Formats: sequence, C-alpha cells, structure tokens
Amino acid sequence: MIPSGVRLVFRTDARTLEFEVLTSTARLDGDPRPRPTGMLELLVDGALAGRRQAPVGNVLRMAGPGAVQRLVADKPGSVRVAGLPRGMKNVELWLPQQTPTELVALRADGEVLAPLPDGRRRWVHHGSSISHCIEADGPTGTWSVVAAVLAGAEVINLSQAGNALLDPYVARTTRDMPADLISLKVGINIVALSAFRLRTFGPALHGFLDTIRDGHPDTPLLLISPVSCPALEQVPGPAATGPDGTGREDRRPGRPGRRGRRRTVAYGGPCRAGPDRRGTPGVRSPPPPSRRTNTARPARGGRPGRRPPLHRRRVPPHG
Amino acid sequence: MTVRMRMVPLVGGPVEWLGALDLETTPAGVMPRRFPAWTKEQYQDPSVHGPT
Repeated sequence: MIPSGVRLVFRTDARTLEFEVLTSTARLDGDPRPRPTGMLELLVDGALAGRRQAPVGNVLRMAGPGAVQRLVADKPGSVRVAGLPRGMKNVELWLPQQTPTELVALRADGEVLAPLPDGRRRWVHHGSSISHCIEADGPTGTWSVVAAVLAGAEVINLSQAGNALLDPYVARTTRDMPADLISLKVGINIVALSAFRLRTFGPALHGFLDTIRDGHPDTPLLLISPVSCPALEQVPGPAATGPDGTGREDRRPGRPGRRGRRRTVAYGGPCRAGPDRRGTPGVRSPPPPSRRTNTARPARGGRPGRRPPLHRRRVPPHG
Repeated sequence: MTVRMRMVPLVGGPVEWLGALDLETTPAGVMPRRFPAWTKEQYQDPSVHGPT
C-alpha cells in the first residue's frame, strides 16, 4: 500500500487543482504525534510546481514496533494547488513514498484530458528499502526517480522495503510487464533475514531470473547487489542476527542460468551475496572502494566514457 | 472570485495511474497498489502489505 513511485498523470488547462487524500500513518503510544505522512508533489511539464505535506488521516496506534495495531479512523484531507501556468500542460501528482494513501477526489477548474504518449523508455526496478526510499524527502527524490529523470526514462518501482526476497510473485509481475529495461537489487534483505542457505539461494535466484526472462528474453537486465550496507559489508552472511547466528556461510550464487545470462549484467556493490567473483566471465567486478557509489544508471548506461550505454552492452557467454 | 471546480473520475476517466498495477476501491476512494491484485494471495506476512 505504500505507493513509492505511484503517480496520477493527465493533461489539463486548469489553473487550480484540488486533491482529497486519506493517509494511514503509524503512531507509537509513547510518541507525541504520528509519524510524518510524507509529501504530495505536483509536477507540471516535468518540473516541480507544488509540494504539500500530505494531511494526517487514519492513525494506526501501537504500543511498539511490531505490536498489534489499533486503527483510529479519521477523515480525508484536502490539498489545493493554485496559480498553475495557463494553457494545456502535462501534470503528474506523486503520492507520498512512505505512507499508504488513498486518493479520494480530484477536482480541477479546467478541462482534464488523458496524457499523450511521451516515447520514454520504461524501466522496471525491484529492490529493497534502499530502492523503496521511504526516507527520501519526497516521492520524486527517491534515487530511482532521480535516475529515471536523468536518463529520460519512465520508472516503475516494484521495490519492497524489507521484502526483496526473490518472491515468485515479484518475478511473475515483472515478467508480465512491458519493460525496456529491468534492474534488480538483490541481497540485503536475504542476508539480513538469513532467508536462504547455500543450498537454496542459487536456485532461487536463477529461478527468479528465468521467470523474468520468460517474458523478457532480450530486455537488458541489470542485477546489482546493495549499494550500501555497512553492517554487513565485512560479513559474507547470513547475518549474525539470523536464526543460525553464525554469519559464516559462503553463499556463492554460481553462474547465471542459460536464459538468465543473456544481456544480463551483474554489478556488485559493497555488500555482495557471494565471494569475490573477479575474473568470472560475464560478471562485472565492483569498482575500487573509493569509486563505489550509487551510480547504476540503467537507462542510458553508466559513467560517461567508462561504459557503453547499457542497452548496447552484452554479457559474454560463459565458458 | 469563485473558482468553479469540477470532479474528475479517478478510474475509467482521462487520468492515468503510473506505478500502480492494481486500483483497489475502498470506502473512501481508490487505493493504488504497486502489485497486481492476484499477488495478495501469495504473501502472508503483514510486513509485505505496506510495501506493496
């Protein structure tokens, strides 16, 4: 329900828009107020034209994290954006990336039309909370949206905070979606939850990739490990906090499956699920530590002058 | 000056939802979900309901 990356798009000549929304935010019994609801952001022709705090609606009270929730229902609140430019324009309303939000009403003082195709390539991304970006300062400040804007792409964010666990329904959803590019950020939740063992991780990862490849045999696919995870960067995993408590197991994922390796680029960040794989054909090694940054630029390739555009790169076959 | 505001349908009208693969009708309005409706049967952990 947390709508990271969800937006309502249309064209309008209206100069005033009103949105009625009902948020559902949490509040611990010991806290003086509910958690922040996040921001509603209005883009006009791609530029930020309005930014409002989403009104507090329903509140889920609980004694502590993970405790039983008690719903304190409330009414929707309204947000008004006036003084929009004259003439027909493309409008996007981005919902808060951190709070379940129902849209109750949209009102306009002008004509509202369907958006026109803009020709942008569609990038579908799945990852963990790092990609969900609950802590971003607004829905268009998440790294995937920032990257998509820079690349001129349209991003569909299928990230699930705390739940990037190679769930089959995620792979099937991705398989069934139109996509010009797919990226997957996998590993951090698996390590933190000790979700797999050596026996099960490799087949699960390859099965996940193969399911996606069933629907996208030639779509460029970028597989990356978490861009940052200081607590686990020196530990191969599973995490010491996992059920076994060892933090010792070598979880080598092995080679990508036959269908999964085509046009698939594996890009290792500092928190890798397996051992150092430098020299493995088709698997890109991470840059030196000083250059490890969150620079995966899926739609138009990586660093200028260093790598060709992603859609032109091909992974050499394994021996 | 009074601005005349008109209601715009949230579903089945001119507006398009992006990033949501399911639009659940609620007593209040529309709850966009990023995953299709059929996926709800496939996760049991309540921690997943929020992120989806």
